[in-house]
Amino acid sequence: MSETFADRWARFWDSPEAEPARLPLTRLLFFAALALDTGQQLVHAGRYGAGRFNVSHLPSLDGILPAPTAPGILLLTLTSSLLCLRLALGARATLALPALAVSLGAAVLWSQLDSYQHHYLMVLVCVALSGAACLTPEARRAGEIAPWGYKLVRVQIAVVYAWAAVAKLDGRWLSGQTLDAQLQVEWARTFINTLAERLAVAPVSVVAAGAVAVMVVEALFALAWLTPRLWPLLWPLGLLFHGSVEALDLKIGQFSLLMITLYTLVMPATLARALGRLTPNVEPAEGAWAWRLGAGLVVGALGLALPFAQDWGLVGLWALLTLAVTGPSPSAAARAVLSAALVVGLSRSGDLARDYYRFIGGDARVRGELPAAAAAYAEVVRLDPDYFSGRVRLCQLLTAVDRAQEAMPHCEAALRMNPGQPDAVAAEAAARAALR
Amino acid sequence: MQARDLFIAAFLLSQLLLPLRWYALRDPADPYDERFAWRMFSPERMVRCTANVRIDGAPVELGREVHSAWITLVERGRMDVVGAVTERLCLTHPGGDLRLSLTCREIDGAVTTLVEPTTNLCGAPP
Repeated sequence: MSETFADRWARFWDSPEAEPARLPLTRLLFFAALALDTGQQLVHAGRYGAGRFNVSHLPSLDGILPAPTAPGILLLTLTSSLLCLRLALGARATLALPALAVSLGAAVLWSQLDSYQHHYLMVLVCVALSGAACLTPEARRAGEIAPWGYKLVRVQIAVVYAWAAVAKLDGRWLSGQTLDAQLQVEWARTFINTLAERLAVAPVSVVAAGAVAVMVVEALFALAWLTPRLWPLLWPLGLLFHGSVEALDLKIGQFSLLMITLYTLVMPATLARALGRLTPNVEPAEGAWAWRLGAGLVVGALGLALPFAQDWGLVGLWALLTLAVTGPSPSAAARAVLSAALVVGLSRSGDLARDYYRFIGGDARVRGELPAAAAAYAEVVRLDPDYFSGRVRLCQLLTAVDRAQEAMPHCEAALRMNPGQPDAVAAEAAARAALR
Repeated sequence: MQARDLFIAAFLLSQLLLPLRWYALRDPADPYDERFAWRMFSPERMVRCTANVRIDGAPVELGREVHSAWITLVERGRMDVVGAVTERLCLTHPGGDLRLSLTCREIDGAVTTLVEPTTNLCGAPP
């Protein structure tokens, strides 16, 4: 008797995973990479709601939706980062994954300022996995992601490659023109020119051959993601392809890193089994509530250590989410605290927080909102008192809003750091003149 | 049909139809909006548009009106954003005569004019 479509459908989604070790390993690597990518978006949060202007990805809803604000996007981004780490470290997925899908989806879809295709892809991956965590009773009980969710992610990746290949059936791509314009890295240009010389062809012909190869590779990858027999070939080629894209510096953020982590879904079984031993177990559902409560309190307190102007809404949200998604065990509590500490550490690293305020201040200044610009630069100086340009700018802004008395110490500090620097000298002179 | 099957079917259907929209239902007046179509590294991504905005004959510096990130999207010919920016300008300059010229150069050198400065956009938004 021939198999119906319904039988094939059920067999595809219900059949057991050939190598189950790939799934928790993917979960660990993918959500860890997503936490990093999300954390790096913090610096861009200041753009949102600037001048109370926004266009969402669903413009028909713009009349109903409130405009995003920088603190609102900051809260969503920090919370997404925290939830990613919790999921990487084994938090029960039933609540944590839908919460992540909502916070990440809101941060991405609320404004066309985020038009990165990989962020949209990550939202789709989270939605697919959320469905698998919530719509299967066994998965809900275990706090796991049902295996069909990972199959759906594989199909989604195949769909992305297929459409990407279709998009390249365009004369301007196949001629090499489009790729040529995007290749800016010196080593790549040198390689192309050398190869063109040896083959006695124009450099653009070499690029055209590469462009055609990219289109063919993407079409083959679409097929290979749906064909388990091809995975042993797909895995190294996929890593090589996305590694090359990264090396060519094609301005696509962390797309390559995230795709490389998703390739764990087609990793050789022996390697997946070996690395699978490192993956954390899913946290238990039963145990002493004191661990959960303690974790919530400590995570909330860690929220206070974030470098941004303190937001009690964020502290409360982190504490509540930790209460909701953390298993009641000492190990789960420790993982919750570690996740929050990592997010706080990431947000305090480098110039991330300082630049968040600097961008807000810079934009407000250009648009003539000087009190707002001064407030943002005050945060810049709070976070980095030795930042010369920040001191000079704050001095200028405070003078401009008739607060020259407060401006003077910043000009003096700037001149101590860089005596005689013309901008600092001029700013101090202006502040002194305003005081007379 | 189980909830799971409906979920998967809806998910996959959206991924078939949303990109297809770009190929089958693209608005010729908004040719560079490739969101949700998985058109990575496309020629449209490389388009560069020049916006020339005047209110009552005087040039408007867009950087003083909206964040520079929005201007980048205007320069990529994203008409949702162009429309919202002009609406904003009409609100902040009530009664003004707003003229916009938006010309885009594609990677092959072709030049397309998306908006001509022939109409007062505060009278009739694009």
